[in-house]
Amino acid sequence: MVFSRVQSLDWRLAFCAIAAIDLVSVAACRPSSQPSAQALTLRIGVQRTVEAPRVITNILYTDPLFAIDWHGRPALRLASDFTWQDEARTLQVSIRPGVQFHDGTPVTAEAVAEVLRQQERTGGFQFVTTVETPHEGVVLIHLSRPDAFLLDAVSGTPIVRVDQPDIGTGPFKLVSRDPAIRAERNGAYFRGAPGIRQVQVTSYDTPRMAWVAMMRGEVDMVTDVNRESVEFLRGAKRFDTYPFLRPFYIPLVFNVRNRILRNVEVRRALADAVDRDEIVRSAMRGHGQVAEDPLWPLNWAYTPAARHHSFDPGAAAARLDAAGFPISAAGADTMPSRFRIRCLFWNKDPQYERIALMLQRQFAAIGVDLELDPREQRLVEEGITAGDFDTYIYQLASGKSFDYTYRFWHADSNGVGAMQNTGYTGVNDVLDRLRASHADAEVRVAVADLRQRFYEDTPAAFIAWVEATRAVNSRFDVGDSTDPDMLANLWRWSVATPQQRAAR
Amino acid sequence: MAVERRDAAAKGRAVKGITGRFVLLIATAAVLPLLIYGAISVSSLQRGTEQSVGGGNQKLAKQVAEQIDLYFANNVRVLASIGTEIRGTRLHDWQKQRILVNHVLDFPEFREISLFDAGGRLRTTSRPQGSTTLTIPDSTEWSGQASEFYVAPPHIDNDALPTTTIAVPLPGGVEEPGWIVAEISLEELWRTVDRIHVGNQGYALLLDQGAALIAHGNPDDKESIAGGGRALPEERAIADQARTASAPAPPRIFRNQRGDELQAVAAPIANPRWTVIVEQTTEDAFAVANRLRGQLLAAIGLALAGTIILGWVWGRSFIQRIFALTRVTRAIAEGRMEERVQLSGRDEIRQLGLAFNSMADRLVELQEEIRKQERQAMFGRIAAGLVHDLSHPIQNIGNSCKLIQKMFEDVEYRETFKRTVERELVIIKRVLDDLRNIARPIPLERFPVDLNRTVADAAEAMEQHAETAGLTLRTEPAAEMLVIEGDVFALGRVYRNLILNAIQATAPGGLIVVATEARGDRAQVRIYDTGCGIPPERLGQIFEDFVTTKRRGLGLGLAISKKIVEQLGGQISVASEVGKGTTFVLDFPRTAARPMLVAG
Repeated sequence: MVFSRVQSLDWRLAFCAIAAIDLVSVAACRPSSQPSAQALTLRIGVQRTVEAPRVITNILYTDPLFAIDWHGRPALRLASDFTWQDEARTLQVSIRPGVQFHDGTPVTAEAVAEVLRQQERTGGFQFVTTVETPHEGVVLIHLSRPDAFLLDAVSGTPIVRVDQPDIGTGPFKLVSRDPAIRAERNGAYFRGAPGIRQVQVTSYDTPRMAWVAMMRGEVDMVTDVNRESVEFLRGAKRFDTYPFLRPFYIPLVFNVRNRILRNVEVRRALADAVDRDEIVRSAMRGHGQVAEDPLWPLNWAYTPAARHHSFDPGAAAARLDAAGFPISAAGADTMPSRFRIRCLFWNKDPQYERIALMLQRQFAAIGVDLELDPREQRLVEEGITAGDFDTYIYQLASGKSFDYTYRFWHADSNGVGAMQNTGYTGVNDVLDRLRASHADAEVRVAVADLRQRFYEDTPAAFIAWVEATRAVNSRFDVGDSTDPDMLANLWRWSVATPQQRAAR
Repeated sequence: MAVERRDAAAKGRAVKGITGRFVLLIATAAVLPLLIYGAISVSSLQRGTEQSVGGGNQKLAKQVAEQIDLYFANNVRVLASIGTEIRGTRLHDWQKQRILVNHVLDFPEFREISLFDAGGRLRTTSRPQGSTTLTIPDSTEWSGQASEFYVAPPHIDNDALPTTTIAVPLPGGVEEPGWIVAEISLEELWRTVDRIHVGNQGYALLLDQGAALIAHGNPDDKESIAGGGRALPEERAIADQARTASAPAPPRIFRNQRGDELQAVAAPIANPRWTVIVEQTTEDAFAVANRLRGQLLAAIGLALAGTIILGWVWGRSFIQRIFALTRVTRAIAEGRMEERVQLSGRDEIRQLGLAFNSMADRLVELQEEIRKQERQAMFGRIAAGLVHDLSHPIQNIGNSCKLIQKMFEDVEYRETFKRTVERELVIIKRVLDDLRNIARPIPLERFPVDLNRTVADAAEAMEQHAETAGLTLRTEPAAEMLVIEGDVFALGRVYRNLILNAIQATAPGGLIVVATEARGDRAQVRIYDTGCGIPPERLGQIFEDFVTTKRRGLGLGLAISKKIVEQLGGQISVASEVGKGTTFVLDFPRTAARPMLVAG
C-alpha cells in the first residue's frame, strides 16, 4: 500500500510539473504586446526631386495655420479660427492656445506674424501690406485688395521659429537632415502624440530605386509606386497599397502663339480628337481619371460642366475642314495631313511616350501630323519656359483649390511668375474674378464660368488626372485607409496589431 | 501485517501478470494485423499520393510551358507578319514607322518594335525620332537559333518589371535579309503564372536560363523579382535536371527560405531556354493523404486502446474469480469452513467453483466425523486413564472404609485409615489437577531463576528414586550462570517428570544425566538416559494429551511439561533411539536479570 501511494504521488508531481512547464512555455511564446524598436521607426523612400523631400519634411515637423483639405477647404491647424473682415481686405486669425514649438517656447501671435512677414510678396502673399498682432493670440493680415488665394499661401507656409527654422510644431521633431532626414516623435503634439517613434526619409535617384529598396526591406513606405509595379504587390502580405487621385493632371498644352494653334477651332478640334478613355486605359493602365479641364474635380466648388470635350473624331475632322484646314498630299517623308505640329515630352517616362504615340495616332486619324520630340526633362522645361514648342505633354499641378490654376493659366504674371508661356489669355478675367471671390456662391459661379471658358477657348487637350499609389509595409496601420491625405496625417499612424493585419 | 503485505504484493503481481498476458494476447491477435495492414495502407497511400501529386503538377508545369511556348510563338508570328508587311510593300519610312507604332499601341506587351538590316543598322523603329535601344542578337546570352528566333536574357526595367527582347530573323528575298526586334513586357507571362494555383499553397514560377526569376505565382515571393531575385539552389537544380533529362525529372522536396517544405517539378521551355517550375507545400499536397493517415492512425489507436481495455477487463474478471477461489481456499485452510465461493458465469471456472464448494461441504462432514471419533477416542482414553488412575485409590479407600467399620476401636488402625485415605485423596487430587491444567493455561510466576540451581534441586530430589532403581543420576551444570525467566516450582515439576520417565525407561545399571548449557542468548537443559528409547512412530505424539506408554496414568505428564516450557517462552524437543536411550532438550531464552534467592 505504501508503494502505491508513492506511485500516485509521483504521477501527480509529474503531471503538475508538465502542466507548469507548459504554462511557462505558452507564456514565453505569447507574442509580446510591446512592438520592437525597429517596428516603431517608419522609413520612407522618396525620389530625389526638389519638392518631394521638402514636402514630406514639412509634413513631419511643421504645421501651418491651416491646411487645405482634399476638397479645397481650409482645415484649422495652428489657427483656432479665422474670419474675413473689411470686405475681405483683412484676414483675422486666432492662434490656438497652448501650442508650443519643439523647444518648449509657446507659439504666439507675434511668432506667427514674424513668419508671415518674411514671406515673399508673390503668389498668395502678393497683396499683403502688413501683418500685425493687435493683441495676444490674434494675427491680422491686411491686403491691398481682396485675395482668396491668401489662404492657400498661408496654408503653404510652415510656422517655425524664425531664428531656428528647424524647430517647428509638427508631430515629429527634426533630428537630422543628412544623410537621411530623421525625425522623432513629439509627445506633446497638440493633435495627439504619434504612434510611431521615429520617421526616416531617404531619397533615391529614381522611383524604381526607392521601390527596390522597399522590396529589400530597407524602407517601409514608398510615396508613389510606379503604376506597373503595383501589379507586383497584388496579393502580397507584406505590403498594403493605397491608391488615390493626385491633384496633378496630364494635358497636351497648345502654344497659342503658333499660327495654327492660335485658331480656337483647331484647338477644339484637337481636343475632340483625343480618346481620353483609351489613353487612361492603355497608356496609364487604368491608373487615372479622365480630365475635362485643369480644375480639381474633388473641390467643393466643382460642379459638372454643361459641356465638355468628348471623343468625336468625326466632329473634329469637320471642325478642321470648316476652319479651312484640308488634308494635303503626303510629302517625301510626311504623311498627308492638314498641318504638322510638334510635341515635346519627357523621354524617360514610358507613359509619356505611350501617350504621345496614342495622340499621334488619334490625330493622324483626323489628318493632323503630330511630330514627336522626346527630350530630357531639363530641355522640356526650358522649351516650355521659352515658348519653344507647338505642344507639349507634361504633368501639371492643379492644387486642391485654385491658386495653382491661377498661377499656371493666367497669362499675366501678376507678381506670380509665369508658369506657362503659351500666350493664352482666355481665362484671365475669370481667374481674376475667382481670386477676388469669397462667398461660396460667388466662387461656385466663377468656377462654373471658368470651366465653360476652358471648354470654349481651350488652351490644351486636358487628358487625365493622375492616380498614384502609396505602398506601406503592413506592419503599420495608417488609420483611415480611405483618407487621401494619409501622408499629411502621419501622426495618426501606428504599429498594426495582429488583429488589424489579419482583418486586412 | 508483514504477511498481509507480502500477500497483497504477490496478488498484485499476479493480477498484472495474467492481465498483462491477456492484454498482450488480445492486442497481438486483434491489433497486430490491423497495424500491419495500416502500415502497408499508409505507405501505399503516401507513395500513391506522391506520384499522383507529382504527376499532376508535372502535367501542369508542362501545360504552362506549352502556353509560354505558344506565347512566344504568337509574338514571333506577329513580328514576322509585321516584318513581312513592312518589307513586302513599298512604304515610306513614316508609314513603316506608323505601322510599328500601331502595333506597339495595339499589342500592350510590345514596348517597342524596330527593324534592322542584317548588319544591325536601324531601318525603322516605333520609337520617336529613332531613339531605339534595341539591337540584333549579338551575344551568346541570347537563346534561340537562326531558324526560329532569339530571346535576350530578361532584365528589369525602370518600372521594376521584367522585360525581354525578341529578335526574329527576316529572310532575304525581294528585300535584303534583316531582323525585326521587339522589346516585350513579360506581364502576360505573369498573368499566366499567377493563374496557376495548385491546392491552397501551390504556385508556378518561371526562371530564365540563368536561374533569374521572371515570374512567381506566390505573392510573397513576387517582390523579389523587382530586386533581381534568383531561384533557390534546389529550384535551379531541378530546372537543370529538367533541361538535361530525357524524361521528366521526379519531384524534388526541399525547404525554402521561410522553412516551408515544398515539392517541386519542372518543365522546360524550348525557346527561350526557360523553365517552368510548379511548387506546392507538402503540407498542402499531401493534405488528403495526411488526413487519411491521421484517421487511420486514430482508428488504429482507438482499436488498440479498446483491445487493451477489453483485455484488461477480461483479464481482471478472469483473475478475480481465480482469486475468489483462492481466498475461499485459504479461509478454509485457516479453519473457516463455512466459507464458500460464489462465481458467476457458466464456464469451467464456475464448474470449478461448484466442485470446490462440494469438496468443502464434504470436508466439513468428514471433519465433523473425525472430530466425533477423536472425541470418542479421547473420552475413551480419559475414561480409561481415569479408571486406571482413580480405581486403585478409590478401591483402597473403599477397602479401608470397610475395615474401619470392623476395627474402629483399634486406635492404631484409625491412624492407618487416616493416612491411607489422605494418601489416596492426594493421588486423586493430583489426577484431577492434571486434568484441569491441560485444558487451560497453567498459572505460573515468572521471575529470574538460576537454571543450574533448579536442575540441581530437582536431581537431588530424585536421587533416592534413581538409587532405588539401581541407576546413576548425574548432573552436568554449565560453567556460567544461566538465568531465565521461570517458575521454580513448575520447572521442578518438569525436571522431575522427565527424570522420573528416564528412571522408568532405564534398566538398572543405566545412566541418567541432567546437563545445562549456554547457547548464545539461549539456555538449554538436556536430560538424557540410556534407557530403552522411544519408537519413531510414537515420537511425534509424545507430547500430546493422554498419550502414555505406561500401564497407569492419563498420559498428561509430557503434555503438561511441554505446556509449562512453552508458557515460559521455551521449547521442548526429544530425540530417541530404540535400545540406546532418549534425550529431552529444554531450550529457554536467557535473561540479563539477576536471579532471586528462593527459600528452601
